Amino acid sequence: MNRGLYIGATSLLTNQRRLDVLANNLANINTSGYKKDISLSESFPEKLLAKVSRTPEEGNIPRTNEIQFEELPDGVYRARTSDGFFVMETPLGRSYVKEIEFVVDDEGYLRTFYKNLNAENKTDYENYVINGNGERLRGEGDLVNILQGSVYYPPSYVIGTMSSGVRFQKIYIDFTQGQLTETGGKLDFALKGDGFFKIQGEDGEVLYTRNGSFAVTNGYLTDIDGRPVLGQNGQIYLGNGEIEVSQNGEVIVDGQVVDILDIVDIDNKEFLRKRGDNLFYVVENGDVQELPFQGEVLQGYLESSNMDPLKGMVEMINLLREFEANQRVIRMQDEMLERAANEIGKV
Amino acid sequence: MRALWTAATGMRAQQFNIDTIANNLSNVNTTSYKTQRAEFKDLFYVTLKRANIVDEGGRPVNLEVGHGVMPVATKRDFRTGSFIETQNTFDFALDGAGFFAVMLPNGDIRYTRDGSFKLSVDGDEAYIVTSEGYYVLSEDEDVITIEDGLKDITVDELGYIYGRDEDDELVEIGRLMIVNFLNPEGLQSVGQNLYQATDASGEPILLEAEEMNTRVIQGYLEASNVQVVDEMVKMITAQRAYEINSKTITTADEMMQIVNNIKR
Repeated sequence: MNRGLYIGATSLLTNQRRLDVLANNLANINTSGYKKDISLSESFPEKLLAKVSRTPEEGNIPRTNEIQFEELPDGVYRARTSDGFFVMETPLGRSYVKEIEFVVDDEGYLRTFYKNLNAENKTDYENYVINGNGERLRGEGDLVNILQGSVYYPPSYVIGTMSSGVRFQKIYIDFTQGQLTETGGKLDFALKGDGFFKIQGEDGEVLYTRNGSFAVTNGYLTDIDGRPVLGQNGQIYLGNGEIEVSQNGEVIVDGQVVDILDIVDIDNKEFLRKRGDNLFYVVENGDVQELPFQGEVLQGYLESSNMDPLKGMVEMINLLREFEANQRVIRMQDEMLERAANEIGKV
Repeated sequence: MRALWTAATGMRAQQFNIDTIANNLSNVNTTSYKTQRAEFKDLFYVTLKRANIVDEGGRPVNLEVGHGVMPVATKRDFRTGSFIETQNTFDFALDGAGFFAVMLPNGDIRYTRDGSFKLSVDGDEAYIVTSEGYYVLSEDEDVITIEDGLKDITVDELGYIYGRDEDDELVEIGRLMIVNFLNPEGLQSVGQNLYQATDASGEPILLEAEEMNTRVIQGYLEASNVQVVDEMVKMITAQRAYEINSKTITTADEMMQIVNNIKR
């Protein structure tokens, strides 16, 4: 059947999921400490297209080739080949491309990347550059030479490449600061700057949150659901006193410093996941380091959601129209098939 | 279409928000009323795809989408409201943290910041009661009795009640019971400006005269601390958030309609 039909359908599916994510962002527009999700989509791998009448031919013969190689800022390299293709290993199989941009990751592999909000290049769940034998390329120094041998030369019946549509790749949490609103509550705290309060979960695990709307349960400082908030000496006992918290997180009860709120920043925030109840946890095997908190704690304030309704509405219009356009693509293919089926055969 | 249900939770949450705001606004003239604020949390997350895609380190890729929002609590703002002069002998305001204690007819004790008390005369004796007729308690959890013949009742900053007898002598009648809670936000509102102690609020702590920072002011009442402007702003944001979520529903609906139109 027509490829276009399925390609159109991939876009419909992707946009439905984008709406699911957006709906959650917009539903949480008044949730304090909420961080919005950004959906990332990617195209399917570029596959080789062959002529129907193929003549048998020799396979991949390495040739010398003109690779245009550029070094961009921040350790990014760009390479382009005039003949043949670079081969990428993706979770969905190989992709054949003429131009690649890549970085060398911590283990020395050549990989594609994405930029996080601090403009750092991240390579988790990204694709590898491989050679014709399926080996991942790694190395440093003479990258041109490494790439040289890896270019794949397809047989001559291959006429080009094509991607079969778009798919929802992953969700990225945007940790930018939300607006601070004054509440006047003694047990309301907001963080100014990157960082998280640490909460002890039901099974003793450490959870992170930006929602500083706390309560007192049996004399201990807890979140609203009764989970203890952690200080540097563990749970924070307030007893019967008045609580004051200084800008650097010292908990002062009746003029005595009883503990310091354990507030940490996290270096690889892409390994944080949402658990609901405004809590984040570190994914299993997450490569996460806690860093000292550089910002300020504000008592009597709460951080609002960082979801911008304006951008949300624009995105919603965008995805709806994209959805509509792809529906047209499907309709068009359908009409073509109708013609083929009903009118060509007509006498 | 998960988005439909997600947006519905958003609309419900905003409805709850509006309910809270409406209650605040209707209590704008209620003595000693404390503003409430609705708090929300995000609902649980599920992975979009069944197949668990992992990256090189064996970590699952973030493909989790949330199910929307739910209201989790209403928090009271216990900041002191402004004071209104009434010149009434039995009107009291608390300047600072603290609550008066009153006894219900069934003997239960409730707490209030509404110091608009009255005298209830019973034969030769009179008692200090609330507008509903509940007894106001003294320091030793007893009703406050004013003997016949006492006049010019005054209450000092620490809550001691004095009167003058026939010989114009100053007589101490007792001291108002003034308590505070570790976590006043945890008190349960029972209506009629009364609060009930809960596990979350902790046990009442009696404020002793020697170490009391709170002042009792006679002849004044504490006004509601609702800031109408703030409530209006909150109402606008709540209404718009409601609208935005309804737009999500419309969009989801439109998408389903578009899908239906694929088939001619």
